[in-house]
Amino acid sequence: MIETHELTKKYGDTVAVDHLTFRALPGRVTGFLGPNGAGKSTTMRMILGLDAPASGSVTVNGTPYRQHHYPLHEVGALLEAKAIHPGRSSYNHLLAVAQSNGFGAKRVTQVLELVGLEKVAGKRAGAYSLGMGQRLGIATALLGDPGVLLLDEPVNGLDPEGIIWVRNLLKALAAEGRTVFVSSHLMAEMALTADHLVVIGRGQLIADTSVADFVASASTGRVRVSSPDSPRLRKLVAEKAADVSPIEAGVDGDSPTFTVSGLPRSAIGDLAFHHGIVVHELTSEAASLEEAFMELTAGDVEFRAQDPSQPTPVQAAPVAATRKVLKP
Amino acid sequence: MSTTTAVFVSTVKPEHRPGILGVARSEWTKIRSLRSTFWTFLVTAGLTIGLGSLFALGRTSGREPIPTTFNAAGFPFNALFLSQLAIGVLGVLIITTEYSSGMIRTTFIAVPQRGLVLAVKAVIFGSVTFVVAVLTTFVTFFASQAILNRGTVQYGVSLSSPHALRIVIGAALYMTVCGLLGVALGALLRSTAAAITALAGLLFILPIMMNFLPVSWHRDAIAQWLPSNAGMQIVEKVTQPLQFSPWAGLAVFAGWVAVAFVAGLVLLHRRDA
Repeated sequence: MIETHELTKKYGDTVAVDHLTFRALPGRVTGFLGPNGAGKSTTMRMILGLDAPASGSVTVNGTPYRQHHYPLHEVGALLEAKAIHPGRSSYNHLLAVAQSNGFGAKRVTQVLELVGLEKVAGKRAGAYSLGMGQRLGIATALLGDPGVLLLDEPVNGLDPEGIIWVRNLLKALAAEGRTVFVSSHLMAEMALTADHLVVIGRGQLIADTSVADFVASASTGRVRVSSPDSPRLRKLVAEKAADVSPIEAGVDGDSPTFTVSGLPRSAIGDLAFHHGIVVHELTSEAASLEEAFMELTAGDVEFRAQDPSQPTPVQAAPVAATRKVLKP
Repeated sequence: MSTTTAVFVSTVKPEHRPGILGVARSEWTKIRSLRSTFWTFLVTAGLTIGLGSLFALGRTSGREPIPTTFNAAGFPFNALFLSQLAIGVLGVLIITTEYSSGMIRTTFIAVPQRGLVLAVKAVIFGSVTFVVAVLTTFVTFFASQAILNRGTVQYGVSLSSPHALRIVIGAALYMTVCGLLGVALGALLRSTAAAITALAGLLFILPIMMNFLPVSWHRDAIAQWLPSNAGMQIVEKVTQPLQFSPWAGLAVFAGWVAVAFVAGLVLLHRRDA
């Protein structure tokens, strides 16, 4: 388990991580999500005792990281792919890391096979692709067979096959009862991999929620209705619902459609049945996860390009006013 | 969470207890697994032996007479002027390449006791360097003395002559301290370029600059304290005025390195990795 309490990091006047409190529990994949520059990597370095917090505390399995006797046996970490001397082979790299914690050549061979690098283990790491570098980083994290795994953007640079491999590996590791804490700026990837989400923006906690709740919160509450007799159904619905859109003509022979908010799907279906109106479609419109993520982190993005569709520069929305805080 | 969650129990157990021996094994693996380490040692040995022999050849091929005070054992080790930089740069790279590649974070995640890592790294590198340096200085000595002895007048000395053994072992120790100075500067400055600049500044530029200062500024009294001036007294036969004795000089040089190491250790604990 990873536990932070009011964790804060400052660089000069800049607050990189701002009173961050969360827990990553064993047995599930916790996605650590935030825009670039949100403080994800800084938080991870503080968890691993590399960076000292300005205030607050962080423990891994109840103990500050640097007090563990067999650190690699407790926590495996991947911070950067290819964080390895370019002239050293991956076998020797792994051996050097393993030996420092009392592990030997046998374990090195095991993790090389686990990540599929056994055939290139003798080659200089400088010649590795980014994807091979990520696999080597994951092998390094798994050396001590740790109960806690910390991975910073592990799918960066991987091909689709590699992404699916990492996804399944993380799920399998969590299913064994391990704590898996994985950062990403890709919402869609996290939705497929994670069970739980910790979302930060500008160093502050925005959401600490299950993926299911996050998806539910992304739903707009609008219902899309399609019927050959749309004008009549729309008139009936409009008597009960607050907001009904104008009718759009159907495309490619589809029935005309309109959207409704303020009335559940079931009520619209019942209404249509009661009046004998044929309905072809009745769907809840969910915003995409990306949209939900963007909405949640609006104003928390550190670097933003000007929107090319807008003639004048757009001011970022005020942070505090637009932020929704989701709690588990 | 649901009660069906598996409780993780690791099945992989370490073969050894963690600690200083494990870190030593790890640092030894790091040093021996780089081809560049081997090549740099070879260049250092080649420079010392080659230049030492060349200097011996040059000294005896001129017309000017060789005085009786000639330091035959120590003279070839003027070659250290160049090879000290090669071994110092290797010392720098041992640590700065960990910073430039990001490996240092992997190292400190595996062994959070940063001081232990730096100390063990220095001991392992220092030991390897000393072994290579001793082999190098002995070969340099025998090659250069053979050259000094090739004429009608034999200027060369044997290893059993006064001071000779001290000079040959001392030259190897000087090289080792140069390497360790590189490690200390690397830990202190973290950047390869900055550390190599500082190394060259301390060993090369400072002594040259001193020569251009006014004598009335107690220039010579100050110059004897400079790292390379003090350290190179170990290959002198006779101690000159305003110079340290051989072992005192080497100790002063080692003192510089110790100061750099302590500063590096303090910063290593204070700074974020």
